[in-house]
Amino acid sequence: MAETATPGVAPRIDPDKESKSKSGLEPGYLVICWNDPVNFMDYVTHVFQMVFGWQRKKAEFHMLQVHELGKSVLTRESMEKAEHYVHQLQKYSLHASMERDE
Amino acid sequence: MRLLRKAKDRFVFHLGPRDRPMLRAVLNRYPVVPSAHQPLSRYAPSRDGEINQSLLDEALAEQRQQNERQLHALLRNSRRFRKTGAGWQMTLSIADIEWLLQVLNDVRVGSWIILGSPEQDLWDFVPNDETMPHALAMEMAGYFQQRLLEAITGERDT
Repeated sequence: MAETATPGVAPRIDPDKESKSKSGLEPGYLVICWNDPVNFMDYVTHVFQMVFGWQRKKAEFHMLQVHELGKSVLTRESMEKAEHYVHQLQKYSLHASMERDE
Repeated sequence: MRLLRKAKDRFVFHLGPRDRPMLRAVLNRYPVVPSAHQPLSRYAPSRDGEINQSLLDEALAEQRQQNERQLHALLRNSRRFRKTGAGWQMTLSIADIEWLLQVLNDVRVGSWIILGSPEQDLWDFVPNDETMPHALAMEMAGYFQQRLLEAITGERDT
Protein backbone atom coordinates (compact mmCIF):
# COMPACT_ATOMS: atom_id res chain seq x y z
CA MET A 1 0.00 0.00 0.00
CA ALA A 2 1.35 3.45 -0.91
CA GLU A 3 2.25 5.76 1.91
CA THR A 4 0.08 8.81 2.51
CA ALA A 5 1.66 11.96 1.09
CA THR A 6 2.62 14.65 3.61
CA PRO A 7 0.90 17.97 2.90
CA GLY A 8 3.30 20.76 1.95
CA VAL A 9 1.57 23.35 4.13
CA ALA A 10 1.07 22.70 7.80
CA PRO A 11 -2.58 23.06 8.88
CA ARG A 12 -3.43 26.08 11.07
CA ILE A 13 -4.12 25.12 14.63
CA ASP A 14 -6.46 27.30 16.63
CA PRO A 15 -4.80 27.68 20.06
CA ASP A 16 -8.18 27.29 21.75
CA LYS A 17 -8.66 23.96 20.05
CA GLU A 18 -5.26 22.49 20.75
CA SER A 19 -5.18 19.07 22.29
CA LYS A 20 -5.84 18.98 25.98
CA SER A 21 -3.45 17.26 28.29
CA LYS A 22 -4.03 13.52 28.65
CA SER A 23 -5.79 14.01 31.98
CA GLY A 24 -8.30 16.36 30.32
CA LEU A 25 -9.36 13.84 27.73
CA GLU A 26 -12.17 11.34 28.11
CA PRO A 27 -10.83 8.42 30.13
CA GLY A 28 -9.54 5.76 27.80
CA TYR A 29 -9.56 2.01 28.19
CA LEU A 30 -6.86 -0.31 26.98
CA VAL A 31 -7.95 -3.53 25.33
CA ILE A 32 -5.41 -6.18 26.31
CA CYS A 33 -4.99 -9.71 25.04
CA TRP A 34 -3.22 -12.13 27.40
CA ASN A 35 -1.31 -15.23 26.49
CA ASP A 36 -2.95 -18.63 26.76
CA PRO A 37 -0.47 -21.21 25.48
CA VAL A 38 -3.32 -23.37 24.20
CA ASN A 39 -4.23 -20.97 21.39
CA PHE A 40 -2.60 -21.49 18.00
CA MET A 41 -0.59 -18.55 16.69
CA ASP A 42 -2.45 -18.68 13.35
CA TYR A 43 -5.75 -18.65 15.18
CA VAL A 44 -4.87 -15.58 17.27
CA THR A 45 -3.66 -13.77 14.14
CA HIS A 46 -6.91 -14.65 12.38
CA VAL A 47 -9.04 -13.39 15.27
CA PHE A 48 -7.21 -10.06 15.40
CA GLN A 49 -7.77 -9.63 11.67
CA MET A 50 -11.47 -10.40 12.00
CA VAL A 51 -12.16 -8.33 15.12
CA PHE A 52 -10.11 -5.24 14.25
CA GLY A 53 -9.99 -5.51 10.45
CA TRP A 54 -6.20 -5.39 10.54
CA GLN A 55 -3.82 -6.45 7.80
CA ARG A 56 -2.08 -9.76 8.48
CA LYS A 57 1.26 -8.06 9.26
CA LYS A 58 -0.18 -5.92 12.07
CA ALA A 59 -2.18 -8.84 13.44
CA GLU A 60 0.97 -11.00 13.50
CA PHE A 61 2.91 -8.26 15.30
CA HIS A 62 0.40 -8.21 18.15
CA MET A 63 0.09 -12.00 18.17
CA LEU A 64 3.86 -12.27 18.63
CA GLN A 65 3.74 -9.72 21.47
CA VAL A 66 1.13 -11.86 23.20
CA HIS A 67 3.19 -14.98 22.62
CA GLU A 68 6.57 -13.57 23.67
CA LEU A 69 5.67 -10.92 26.28
CA GLY A 70 2.56 -12.53 27.74
CA LYS A 71 0.22 -9.74 26.65
CA SER A 72 -0.34 -7.07 24.05
CA VAL A 73 -2.22 -3.77 24.25
CA LEU A 74 -4.36 -3.94 21.15
CA THR A 75 -6.07 -0.56 21.19
CA ARG A 76 -7.16 2.37 23.39
CA GLU A 77 -10.83 3.19 23.17
CA SER A 78 -13.83 4.69 24.97
CA MET A 79 -15.43 2.39 27.54
CA GLU A 80 -18.22 1.28 25.18
CA LYS A 81 -15.89 0.44 22.31
CA ALA A 82 -13.43 -1.31 24.59
CA GLU A 83 -16.27 -3.46 25.99
CA HIS A 84 -17.34 -4.29 22.46
CA TYR A 85 -13.84 -5.43 21.48
CA VAL A 86 -13.37 -7.47 24.66
CA HIS A 87 -16.70 -9.19 24.01
CA GLN A 88 -15.68 -9.97 20.43
CA LEU A 89 -12.32 -11.41 21.52
CA GLN A 90 -13.94 -13.46 24.27
CA LYS A 91 -16.43 -14.91 21.77
CA TYR A 92 -13.39 -16.50 20.18
CA SER A 93 -12.27 -17.72 23.65
CA LEU A 94 -9.23 -15.46 23.68
CA HIS A 95 -8.17 -14.17 27.08
CA ALA A 96 -8.92 -10.44 26.80
CA SER A 97 -9.64 -7.67 29.27
CA MET A 98 -10.01 -3.90 29.39
CA GLU A 99 -8.08 -1.72 31.81
CA ARG A 100 -8.44 1.97 32.50
CA ASP A 101 -5.55 3.93 30.96
CA GLU A 102 -4.41 6.04 33.90
CA MET B 1 -10.37 -33.65 6.66
CA ARG B 2 -9.22 -31.64 3.68
CA LEU B 3 -10.51 -28.89 1.45
CA LEU B 4 -11.77 -30.22 -1.88
CA ARG B 5 -12.80 -26.96 -3.52
CA LYS B 6 -14.10 -23.50 -2.85
CA ALA B 7 -16.44 -21.56 -5.06
CA LYS B 8 -17.79 -18.14 -4.14
CA ASP B 9 -18.94 -18.48 -0.54
CA ARG B 10 -18.95 -22.27 -0.45
CA PHE B 11 -16.16 -24.41 0.94
CA VAL B 12 -16.44 -28.14 0.32
CA PHE B 13 -14.43 -30.41 2.59
CA HIS B 14 -13.81 -34.12 2.38
CA LEU B 15 -14.28 -35.92 5.66
CA GLY B 16 -12.76 -39.39 5.94
CA PRO B 17 -14.75 -42.22 7.56
CA ARG B 18 -13.31 -41.37 10.98
CA ASP B 19 -13.47 -37.57 10.56
CA ARG B 20 -17.23 -37.17 10.77
CA PRO B 21 -17.79 -39.09 14.02
CA MET B 22 -14.75 -37.35 15.51
CA LEU B 23 -16.03 -33.92 14.48
CA ARG B 24 -19.45 -34.72 15.93
CA ALA B 25 -17.89 -35.98 19.16
CA VAL B 26 -15.85 -32.79 19.52
CA LEU B 27 -18.74 -30.46 18.68
CA ASN B 28 -21.16 -32.32 20.97
CA ARG B 29 -18.95 -31.34 23.91
CA TYR B 30 -19.71 -27.63 23.37
CA PRO B 31 -19.83 -25.52 25.55
CA VAL B 32 -16.80 -26.42 27.65
CA VAL B 33 -15.36 -23.10 28.87
CA PRO B 34 -17.06 -22.42 32.24
CA SER B 35 -19.63 -19.62 32.11
CA ALA B 36 -18.47 -16.35 33.67
CA HIS B 37 -14.90 -17.52 33.25
CA GLN B 38 -13.67 -14.37 31.57
CA PRO B 39 -13.24 -11.23 33.69
CA LEU B 40 -13.84 -7.94 31.90
CA SER B 41 -11.00 -6.41 33.90
CA ARG B 42 -8.14 -8.13 35.69
CA TYR B 43 -7.68 -5.31 38.19
CA ALA B 44 -9.77 -3.41 40.73
CA PRO B 45 -13.37 -4.11 39.77
CA SER B 46 -15.56 -1.04 40.40
CA ARG B 47 -19.37 -0.88 40.83
CA ASP B 48 -19.67 0.09 37.16
CA GLY B 49 -17.27 -2.72 36.38
CA GLU B 50 -19.48 -5.24 38.17
CA ILE B 51 -22.52 -4.15 36.19
CA ASN B 52 -20.58 -4.29 32.95
CA GLN B 53 -19.22 -7.71 33.90
CA SER B 54 -22.70 -9.05 34.40
CA LEU B 55 -23.78 -7.58 31.05
CA LEU B 56 -20.80 -9.24 29.37
CA ASP B 57 -21.60 -12.59 31.03
CA GLU B 58 -25.20 -12.33 29.82
CA ALA B 59 -24.10 -11.51 26.28
CA LEU B 60 -21.67 -14.44 26.22
CA ALA B 61 -24.32 -16.80 27.64
CA GLU B 62 -26.76 -15.67 24.93
CA GLN B 63 -24.09 -16.21 22.30
CA ARG B 64 -23.50 -19.72 23.61
CA GLN B 65 -27.17 -20.63 23.41
CA GLN B 66 -27.28 -19.35 19.86
CA ASN B 67 -24.16 -21.33 18.97
CA GLU B 68 -25.67 -24.49 20.46
CA ARG B 69 -28.84 -24.08 18.37
CA GLN B 70 -26.81 -23.40 15.24
CA LEU B 71 -24.59 -26.37 15.96
CA HIS B 72 -27.49 -28.80 16.31
CA ALA B 73 -28.98 -27.46 13.08
CA LEU B 74 -25.67 -27.95 11.27
CA LEU B 75 -25.14 -31.50 12.47
CA ARG B 76 -28.66 -32.49 11.40
CA ASN B 77 -28.55 -30.74 8.03
CA SER B 78 -28.33 -33.38 5.31
CA ARG B 79 -27.46 -30.78 2.68
CA ARG B 80 -24.30 -29.86 4.62
CA PHE B 81 -23.17 -33.49 4.98
CA ARG B 82 -23.35 -35.70 1.90
CA LYS B 83 -22.19 -39.31 1.88
CA THR B 84 -19.60 -39.97 -0.82
CA GLY B 85 -18.11 -43.43 -1.06
CA ALA B 86 -16.29 -44.18 2.15
CA GLY B 87 -16.41 -40.61 3.43
CA TRP B 88 -18.47 -37.47 3.53
CA GLN B 89 -18.58 -34.06 1.92
CA MET B 90 -19.20 -31.14 4.24
CA THR B 91 -20.24 -27.81 2.71
CA LEU B 92 -19.73 -24.64 4.73
CA SER B 93 -20.02 -20.92 4.08
CA ILE B 94 -17.34 -18.52 5.29
CA ALA B 95 -19.72 -17.42 8.08
CA ASP B 96 -20.22 -21.07 9.12
CA ILE B 97 -16.46 -21.51 9.29
CA GLU B 98 -16.08 -18.37 11.39
CA TRP B 99 -18.45 -19.53 14.12
CA LEU B 100 -17.22 -23.12 13.90
CA LEU B 101 -13.78 -21.75 14.73
CA GLN B 102 -15.27 -20.07 17.81
CA VAL B 103 -17.04 -23.26 18.87
CA LEU B 104 -13.96 -25.42 18.32
CA ASN B 105 -11.78 -23.02 20.29
CA ASP B 106 -14.26 -23.11 23.15
CA VAL B 107 -13.83 -26.89 23.25
CA ARG B 108 -10.05 -26.58 22.95
CA VAL B 109 -9.62 -23.87 25.61
CA GLY B 110 -12.27 -25.37 27.89
CA SER B 111 -10.60 -28.79 27.78
CA TRP B 112 -7.26 -27.15 28.51
CA ILE B 113 -8.82 -25.43 31.56
CA ILE B 114 -10.19 -28.77 32.79
CA LEU B 115 -6.69 -30.20 32.42
CA GLY B 116 -5.47 -27.52 34.85
CA SER B 117 -4.29 -24.96 32.26
CA PRO B 118 -0.85 -26.53 31.85
CA GLU B 119 1.66 -23.81 31.05
CA GLN B 120 4.36 -26.06 29.68
CA ASP B 121 4.61 -27.17 26.07
CA LEU B 122 1.39 -29.05 25.46
CA TRP B 123 3.30 -31.77 23.63
CA ASP B 124 4.99 -32.58 26.94
CA PHE B 125 1.71 -32.89 28.81
CA VAL B 126 1.00 -36.52 29.66
CA PRO B 127 -2.66 -37.22 30.46
CA ASN B 128 -3.80 -40.00 32.77
CA ASP B 129 -6.89 -42.21 32.36
CA GLU B 130 -9.12 -39.56 33.89
CA THR B 131 -7.86 -36.62 31.87
CA MET B 132 -7.39 -38.48 28.56
CA PRO B 133 -10.87 -37.63 27.14
CA HIS B 134 -10.23 -33.91 27.69
CA ALA B 135 -6.73 -34.12 26.21
CA LEU B 136 -8.13 -35.89 23.14
CA ALA B 137 -10.94 -33.35 22.78
CA MET B 138 -8.40 -30.53 22.97
CA GLU B 139 -6.21 -32.11 20.29
CA MET B 140 -9.10 -33.01 17.99
CA ALA B 141 -10.61 -29.52 18.25
CA GLY B 142 -7.17 -28.15 17.34
CA TYR B 143 -6.92 -30.49 14.35
CA PHE B 144 -10.24 -29.30 12.88
CA GLN B 145 -9.40 -25.67 13.66
CA GLN B 146 -6.17 -25.95 11.70
CA ARG B 147 -7.91 -27.46 8.66
CA LEU B 148 -10.50 -24.66 8.66
CA LEU B 149 -7.86 -21.95 9.09
CA GLU B 150 -5.82 -23.36 6.20
CA ALA B 151 -8.91 -23.27 4.00
CA ILE B 152 -9.78 -19.62 4.66
CA THR B 153 -6.34 -18.06 5.10
CA GLY B 154 -5.58 -17.82 1.37
CA GLU B 155 -9.10 -16.55 0.73
CA ARG B 156 -8.86 -13.77 3.29
CA ASP B 157 -5.38 -12.49 2.42
CA THR B 158 -5.82 -12.26 -1.36
